[in-house]
Amino acid sequence: MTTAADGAQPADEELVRLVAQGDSDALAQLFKRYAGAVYSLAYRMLNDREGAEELLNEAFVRVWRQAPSYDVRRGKFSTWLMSVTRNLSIDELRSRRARPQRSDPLTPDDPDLDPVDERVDVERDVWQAEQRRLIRQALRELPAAQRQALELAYFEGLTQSEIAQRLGDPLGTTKTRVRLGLQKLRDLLLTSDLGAEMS
Amino acid sequence: MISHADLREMIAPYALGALDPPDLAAVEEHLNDCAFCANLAREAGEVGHYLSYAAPYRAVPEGGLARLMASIRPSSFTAVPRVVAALAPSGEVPKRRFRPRLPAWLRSPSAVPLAASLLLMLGLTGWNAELMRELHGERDEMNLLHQRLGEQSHLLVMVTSHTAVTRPLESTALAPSAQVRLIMDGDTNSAMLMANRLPPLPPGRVYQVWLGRQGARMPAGRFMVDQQGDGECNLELDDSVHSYDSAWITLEPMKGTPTPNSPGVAKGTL
Repeated sequence: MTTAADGAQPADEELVRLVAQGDSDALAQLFKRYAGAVYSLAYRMLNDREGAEELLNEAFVRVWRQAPSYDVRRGKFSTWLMSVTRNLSIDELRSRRARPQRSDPLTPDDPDLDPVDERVDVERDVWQAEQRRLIRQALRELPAAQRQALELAYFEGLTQSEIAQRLGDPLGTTKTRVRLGLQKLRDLLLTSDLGAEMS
Repeated sequence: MISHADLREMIAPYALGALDPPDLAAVEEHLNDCAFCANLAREAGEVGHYLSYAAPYRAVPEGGLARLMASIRPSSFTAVPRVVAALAPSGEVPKRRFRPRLPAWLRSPSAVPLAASLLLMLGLTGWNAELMRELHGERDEMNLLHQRLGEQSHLLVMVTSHTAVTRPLESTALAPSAQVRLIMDGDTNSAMLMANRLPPLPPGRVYQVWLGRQGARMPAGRFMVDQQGDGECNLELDDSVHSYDSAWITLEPMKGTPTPNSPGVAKGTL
């Protein structure tokens, strides 16, 4: 969903070009398109509302600062953005592992308990929700051990050695699970409705 | 020396960022020289990208965009105008003196058209401020509509999910016509509440959803209803969606409360 063939809305890449020129309205449009996906990923990785909010802001500040160096030939904007989000989350997780702290999934007296969603592109939201459903479905079809290995690697930023240690499995077994799991996941996604999007 | 076959097997963990440092260095070096493996890495990276969408949906908290805009704005400062600062001894800013009388040129009859223009300008400024207020009001309304549309699109996906289950909540005497359903999806570990025909909300009040587990209760979200009494709410979960055994809705202050303060308008076991 990076282009708008009907011309109703500028493509992501056009917006990034404008952001690179200092157009904050273009940044706001990108925020409205992807804030949900970024916040959801950050929340999943950090399991912490406050941390996820911080990270959401930081990810888009990075977009603002690094837009001039974004090269469309190296991949879609959404891929870049989610990669920035994940890397920031992993940095935060590693920092937290060094100084353990309580996760706080829900604070009852938090004034933001019932947030106003600032998204505006409903068609895009539906597509993102559909992507979410398809990827969850594909993950469900993986053997549980492979799925667990992939999730530990992706959402917790663990290396294969760390995964093996966490699960008490031999390193070789973990390596096989990661490799086969990702390969099978790709095959499943290619045969799903996401296949047309993938190369 | 690592074989080509071994390097190829490292592509998947490389794409997930799961390689340990020595292997990472070897793969990065190899990718510079091997177009075939570089392509495999790109494909694997794409799958990794889709994994980001496996995270359960979370609504973006209010004020995120305003915060971002404040973050990228150049830092504001209250500079003293150069001329004023230059006139003030030792950099001290001179205090503005109060003048109780109008200047002579403004008291002359020829100043009447000017005064009329000033009044007109003041009137236009007031009108403009009123328009701005209306605009902000409409923007708030738009935000609420967008929120509802977002919630409804998420709801649509949930109700069509094969793994979602629906549990009705029973309305109480406080809301005899209400129909409330809780849709729970263990696959995405998410839950939504869909309410119809709830009584209109008094000013400053909101409906709050509670989830119960083994006698304990937790606030799981708040929502408002439209003129028909319809509303949706994406629930906050602190554990597996199937770990809760009850749910109910109460009428609470706008910001919500940590414990229910009013009788439920709907309740049920899950």
